[in-house]
Amino acid sequence: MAAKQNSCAAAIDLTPYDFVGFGNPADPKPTCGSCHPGGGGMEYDREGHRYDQRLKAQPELHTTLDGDYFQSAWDKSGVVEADCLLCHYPGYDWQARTKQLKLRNYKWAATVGAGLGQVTGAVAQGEIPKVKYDLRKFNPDGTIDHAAFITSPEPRNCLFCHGISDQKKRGFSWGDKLNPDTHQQRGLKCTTCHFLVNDPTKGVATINHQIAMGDDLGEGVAPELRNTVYSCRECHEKGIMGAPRPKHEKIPPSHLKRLACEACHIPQIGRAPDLAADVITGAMVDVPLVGKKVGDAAVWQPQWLRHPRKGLIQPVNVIHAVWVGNRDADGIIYPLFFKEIKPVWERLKGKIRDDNGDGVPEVNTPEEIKLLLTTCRQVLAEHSGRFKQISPVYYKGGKVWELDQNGELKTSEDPSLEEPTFCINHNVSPAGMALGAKGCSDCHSKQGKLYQDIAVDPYGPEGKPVTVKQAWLLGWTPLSFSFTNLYLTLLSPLFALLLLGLLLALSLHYVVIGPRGVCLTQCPGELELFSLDERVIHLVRMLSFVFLAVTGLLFAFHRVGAIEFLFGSYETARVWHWSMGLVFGLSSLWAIVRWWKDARFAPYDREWLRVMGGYLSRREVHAPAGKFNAGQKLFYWLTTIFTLTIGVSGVVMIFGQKVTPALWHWMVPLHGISALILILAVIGHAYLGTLANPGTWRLLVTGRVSPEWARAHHPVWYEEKVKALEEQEAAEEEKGGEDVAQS
Amino acid sequence: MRQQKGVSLLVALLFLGLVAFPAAVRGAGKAPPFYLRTETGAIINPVTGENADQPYSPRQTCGACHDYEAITKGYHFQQGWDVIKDGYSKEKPWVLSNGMMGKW
Repeated sequence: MAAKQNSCAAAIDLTPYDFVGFGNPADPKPTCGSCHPGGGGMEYDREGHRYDQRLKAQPELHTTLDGDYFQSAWDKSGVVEADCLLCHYPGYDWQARTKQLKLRNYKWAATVGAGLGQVTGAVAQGEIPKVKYDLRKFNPDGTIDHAAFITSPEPRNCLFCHGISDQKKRGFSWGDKLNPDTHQQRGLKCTTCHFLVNDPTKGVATINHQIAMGDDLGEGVAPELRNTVYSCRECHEKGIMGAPRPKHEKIPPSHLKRLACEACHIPQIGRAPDLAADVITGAMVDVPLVGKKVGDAAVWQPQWLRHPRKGLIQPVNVIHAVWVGNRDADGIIYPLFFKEIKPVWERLKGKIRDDNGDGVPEVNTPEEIKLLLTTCRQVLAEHSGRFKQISPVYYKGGKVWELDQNGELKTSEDPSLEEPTFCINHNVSPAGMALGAKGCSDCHSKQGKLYQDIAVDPYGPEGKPVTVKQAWLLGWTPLSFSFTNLYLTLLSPLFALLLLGLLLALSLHYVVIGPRGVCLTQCPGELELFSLDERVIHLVRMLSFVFLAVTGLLFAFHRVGAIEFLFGSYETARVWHWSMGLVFGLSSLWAIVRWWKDARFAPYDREWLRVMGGYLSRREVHAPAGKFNAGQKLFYWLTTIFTLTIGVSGVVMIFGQKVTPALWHWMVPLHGISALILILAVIGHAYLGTLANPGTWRLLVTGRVSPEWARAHHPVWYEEKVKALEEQEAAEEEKGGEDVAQS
Repeated sequence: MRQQKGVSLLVALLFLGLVAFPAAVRGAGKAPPFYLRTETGAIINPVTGENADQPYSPRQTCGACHDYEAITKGYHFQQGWDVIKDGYSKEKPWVLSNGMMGKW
């Protein structure tokens, strides 16, 4: 929009007068004013005067550099008052209104749009238009009935404007059979969610017609209205309008904290939006993301982006702006007006190739960019009087291209120049069609959502879009992505099989091989194998591990119902889980320090490993062993390693919202894999410590064993223990003898 | 016989009520018929030919009963025009408002 005050005519771009009706009347494309219901800047200038009345009073204004009146004819065309029937009359003819605006018949547009009559003559042709009303619309006394008008607008009226603009931004088309939305199919209208907002800060009621708005990612429009619309959560958690409460039984609760509802529930859209908005030709060229043109019936998946304010992953469409600007003396890059770009493009005709064959040449190679910038510099030097410095830049794929002092091409990134990014909130699919309905691989696989190609530059050197994988944009690396996929799509589903296999193997072992030796409880426990502190460590570690395993499995297999039944909420269960994790971690550290000397491998352990501790033989086989046999030592080191990995990853996950995505993506599968290995190892350990060796559980209580049992199972330790006892007895006897002699 | 007539009358009244009630409800709260008006507020009557070649003015026609000024304060009508000014953004001097009228 042109500024109010301007230094020269070259600095004036789109005036409010042209905003309303610039364009060829024969072209059905809308003008800017088509999607503006009137009132505001289409009725009053920036000083609050009606344009038509002021220009009649001061006709010289249209020859000045006043941005509101420059080359205008408001006094003849009239102004566009707020056209109530554009929204409140279901039979409104928006196309007829657009044509009247292009004919510059501004104040006649509402009459024609509502179908009340026909207009002949055009201000654009220097005529004074005349109305001929349709008498069928009037009562015999010349009045009009309200019956045809409605209080709450129909979607058709909203879509006059939002259908076209949103098609480019989001591929959205409410009510399109190729592009269904579950809400639309259930009879909801635009106004159901986009109701009138009462704005208490302005002290006015709903009559102020502030319409509830959704969200946007960037600078957006009307920030004061952001998120005033009904949110998914609001309706589906409170049951507004009978909205069903989501079960999300197969979805990890952590996903519900990290992804917006739309991320999974808008898996695809059936109409092509813009990939790029290219103005290099001096006109807006919409480059479709899929299909041959914007609006084509073509299926695509929205890009995922982390919302800069909410942190949630949100489906979006990024429209890559391709434009030319000039870096002025103040260092700011000013986009060029269409009227400045057109002569540049005229000189470039035939010199820029159409590499991708879409019928429009694109400036994509270094040679073409250099040619564009050189030509641009010449044209601006000849024609433009609005810049203090001529230094053209080309913006494409989020990069600024310009010529250095030697005339060579250089690129840079300017964070202030954002790519227009549009949230996608419509075309919602029901649960059965949402991502995740078929399992983790809907996203976490090389055929899934996260491996989708996302365009980051509309034209690479070959004219085709430059793409990167969706997962990389969210912080994954190829390695962490594969690691996560392995865990989610292979190890996690296989866990049940591994668990069953282990239980089957242990059952077979019990039946075929059977328990070893005599029951420990049948002999009196004369030797202390484990002291009180060791038994306490073991007990605390065992109980905390069982708690962690159960809650962890509930998390891993998304048993939301069970979690809520046991803990009330997912968040409470999570706090319990990590609190108990701290207990397990501390007791494990204690155990690691307490037993590390006993867990060191000795040469005789080879013999134990050779005969597998005798566990695979039906005969009674005994192998040398210290306080811990080689199997227990292996268990010690295995649990030490995976306790450390599960502990480190667990601590990182406690601070999940604050760590980088890259770190998070490594820690989650690491935690899961460590847990699965530990659970399987502990089940094996528990079997060997109870059923396979009857009575061994007594060790947990008394810590004592009989000499016979110790000689059979831990002979090295037994010999050391006996030797130590004998030495102790000898020392005591010696001390006793000395005492007797002295007395 | 008299009792039968009474029942018939009651049924007829009930039927009339069922037919008439929805129509009455539909009509409730609706404004009476109105004249179109020109931008100066003059009546347009195509039947009599009074100002019949003039376009109607929403401000004068709808605004006769509804608060046109309050309604047009909404974003859909202002689209940034209520905050537009030169120098709105120092970083992007070509941006003059936070709406479609003034935003680039």
